Amino acid sequence: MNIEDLRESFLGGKVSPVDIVDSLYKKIDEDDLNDFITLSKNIAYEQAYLSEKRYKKGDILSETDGIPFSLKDNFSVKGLRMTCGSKILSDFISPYDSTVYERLKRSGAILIGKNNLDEFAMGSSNETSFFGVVKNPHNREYVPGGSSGGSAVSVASKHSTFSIGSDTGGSVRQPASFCGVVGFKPTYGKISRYGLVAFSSSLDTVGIMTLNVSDCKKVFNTVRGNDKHDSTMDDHINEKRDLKKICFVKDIPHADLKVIKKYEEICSKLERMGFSLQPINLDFIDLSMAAYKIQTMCEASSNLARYDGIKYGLQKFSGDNLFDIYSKVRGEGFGKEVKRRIMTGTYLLMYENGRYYDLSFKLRDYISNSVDSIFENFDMMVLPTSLFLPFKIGERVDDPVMMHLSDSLTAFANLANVPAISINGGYYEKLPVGVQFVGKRNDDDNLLDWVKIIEEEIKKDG
Amino acid sequence: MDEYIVTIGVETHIQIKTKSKIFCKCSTEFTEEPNRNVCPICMGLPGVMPTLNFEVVPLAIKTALALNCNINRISGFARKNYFYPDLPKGYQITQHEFPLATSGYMQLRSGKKIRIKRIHLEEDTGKMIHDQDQNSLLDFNRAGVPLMEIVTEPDFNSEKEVIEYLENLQRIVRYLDVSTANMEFGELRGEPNISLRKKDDQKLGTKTEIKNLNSFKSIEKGIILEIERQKELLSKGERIISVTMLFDERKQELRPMRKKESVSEYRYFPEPDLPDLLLSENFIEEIKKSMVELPSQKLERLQKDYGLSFEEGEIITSNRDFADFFEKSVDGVKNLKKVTKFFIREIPAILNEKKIGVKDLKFNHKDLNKLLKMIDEEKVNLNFAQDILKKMSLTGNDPDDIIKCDGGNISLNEKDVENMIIEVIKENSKEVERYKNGEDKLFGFLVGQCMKKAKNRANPKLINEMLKEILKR
Repeated sequence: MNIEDLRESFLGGKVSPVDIVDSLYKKIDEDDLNDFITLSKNIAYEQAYLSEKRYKKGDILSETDGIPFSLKDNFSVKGLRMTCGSKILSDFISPYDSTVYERLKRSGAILIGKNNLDEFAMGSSNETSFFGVVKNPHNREYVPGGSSGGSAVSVASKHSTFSIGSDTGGSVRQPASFCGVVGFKPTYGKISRYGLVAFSSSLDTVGIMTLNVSDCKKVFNTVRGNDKHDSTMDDHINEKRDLKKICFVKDIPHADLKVIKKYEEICSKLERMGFSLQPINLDFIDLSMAAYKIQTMCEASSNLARYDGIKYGLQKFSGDNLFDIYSKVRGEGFGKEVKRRIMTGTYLLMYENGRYYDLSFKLRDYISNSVDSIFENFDMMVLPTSLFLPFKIGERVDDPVMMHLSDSLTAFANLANVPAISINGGYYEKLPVGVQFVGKRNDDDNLLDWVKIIEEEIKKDG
Repeated sequence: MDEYIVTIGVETHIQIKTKSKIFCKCSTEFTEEPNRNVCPICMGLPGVMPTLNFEVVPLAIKTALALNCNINRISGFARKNYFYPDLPKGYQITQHEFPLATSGYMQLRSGKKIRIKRIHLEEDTGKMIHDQDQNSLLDFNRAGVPLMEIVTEPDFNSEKEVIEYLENLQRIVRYLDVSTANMEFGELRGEPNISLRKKDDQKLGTKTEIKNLNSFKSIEKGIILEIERQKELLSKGERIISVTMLFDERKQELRPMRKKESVSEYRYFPEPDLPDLLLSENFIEEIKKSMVELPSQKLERLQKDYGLSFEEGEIITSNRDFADFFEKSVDGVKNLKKVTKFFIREIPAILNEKKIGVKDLKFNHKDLNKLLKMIDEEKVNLNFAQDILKKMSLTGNDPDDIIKCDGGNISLNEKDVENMIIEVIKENSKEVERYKNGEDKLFGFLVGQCMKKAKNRANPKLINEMLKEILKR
């Protein structure tokens, strides 16, 4: 059930938050999709009990009071395990709350558990998790996308009403597309990153996954806003205005024809709604992938240096020397994909190669300017979320190049620092196909308002 | 052996005195209990983010202004990446490409200017301690304590210059109340880098760095040893390798620590979790206005206003509180020459003995001023004044009270003095006889006997005059 319906039933006394929590845990168990790494039953029942009392008394805290949600397991919750999908943190209990969780807790929402993810959010299929792959509820043989795969599946399977994910290059939008739910990546700096384990700090954003755009707005309003713990925030927002001009992408190299077909259907639907669509070129896509890879790998190599087995996490105290201990802990603790990125990033940051990182910033400026110039003429851009449909588990694990292509239609929004949202655009042979809408920087509220109308229109046609 | 030119540059880390750490709210107060002042942020737990404690900024700017630096309106933080157990995040947040301040200088006594290359902000690391059982223990109380690093150009040519520079630097940051700068607590850590070259060589030689120097003495010794070591190698025709030398305080010797990491190994890049540090002209101006008188300025003024010698001035201005105390205490005192020695010898001796600062003395500048004026008016002689000062430092009593307790009036009146002198003459009739027979030098002896009898309570001038007169009779 979505937030609105659930609230109605709580208010009408048809069902209580405790009942809901009961049924969710039962369903999670039955469905067995591996979308959770940790279930927070103690917290959930306590929060549900308190929420139930509030509903009875009539002092409801907020729109999300009593609403069950989950967090990608790279968000910190005091007293709960936070694994980041990695062996190196598989026993790590966090001693503090992330700002996002803090705000949701204050709103009365109920934490069901922590969602499975690609290790340290590095991956696009949830297959790099130390805790195993997550199954796509639309077809259990297929991947759910990633890295917020567990989050997408928990929302799609109604194990939680919404989930908080993280989006560095498409990690919320791509799994949303693969699982048929809504995935929203706001402008950088709108939601606090404090307590989100860093992958690539200059690109990481907190994303929201819901059943519909209306829920997404509600959750966004609960968690957004400046935070004294995150000094990279900026709560500036553009004024409300009407959606007029939309642009679409004419040529999308590497794209699966099935995806293109669905995309064209959506575009004609938009035209039927009365919008005139103008074509644009995304000729910066290749460059954006280069910039994205350099930047994320460099930053990741530094962000993941703290996992050295000295203070917390996996520990190996036998060794001939310090270097030995480090190698053992990191050698055993990190998976293949994470190691690949740390090593590449380390290499790229070395003095002789330092210009690559500088260059990636220049590229980023170029991409940012290119995107800005598109939005001088248009309010919104529509494009597919992913180049391809969900693929089979195991099919591409050993093909990192193909895997990296997964981000090509999403990463530019992170680089250019603009808001983007993926919603379900229909199905192809029972597998969901997402469509992505990208807005101007700080147009977060407008984008959500506009896409809400489009979503209703798409749903109407079934 | 004199064919080499020694070139030295110095990097100095100074802890900035703030209530909380540079990127979190933990206290910076020193505590014996390990890992007490820590939180998820300074421990580098997964998911935390740094936020700048702005308190450090004006303090660092003050130091930079005192060293004649340009304050950069835009500066930024960067990550210095390396692995070590005392480094919680696997990187240190510092400033690299865009430091807070650049291109300053400090003038040495000789007039030579030492150029300051840059001053930047950074966080301190934790501490690794090795116990008897060969365990390594980690204490993160120090991790995240604010530091500024002050880097000079290679402008020094001797250890003496380095020591003068560091002593001045210590004095400056103490005057500005930026740091307590105690070397033994690691609050000020100087790391010289040294290279030698032949007189006709234009290019600098390969430099080595010395670490673990916890006192001015160690720095001096360390530099001398390293110069010797390099000379010996060079004279044998060997090449100098770039290393970090560790000074062993106990053995008073140097040993190589590790091959010096080159810049590439630190993999610097801009810290994405912190925005640039932007400063307005206005803000910098306000700080300029609030600057206190610097040690060198004070020294110059005290020499001029109080007729102090350079050496006297140096001692008195070595500490801002002490200099202030001096000025207040001598207010209205006429015979400065006579009382200055109290500030050069007696009072420093008391402070040293008790290991206290001037603020912890039991008497204040008003009481001292009273005493100094008594000397002025010749109510007490210097010896007696010294006694009184000692008693003031022990009891905190005001000088009048001490004199009263000590037997009434400040000085014996003329009649008393006369009686006393007559007594002395009687007791020392032999010496008086000899004096009268031409042994002039015995006069001094007789004065001494009178003084002894008077227990310092008589004006020596009066004794002198009266003794002469009475002896004539």
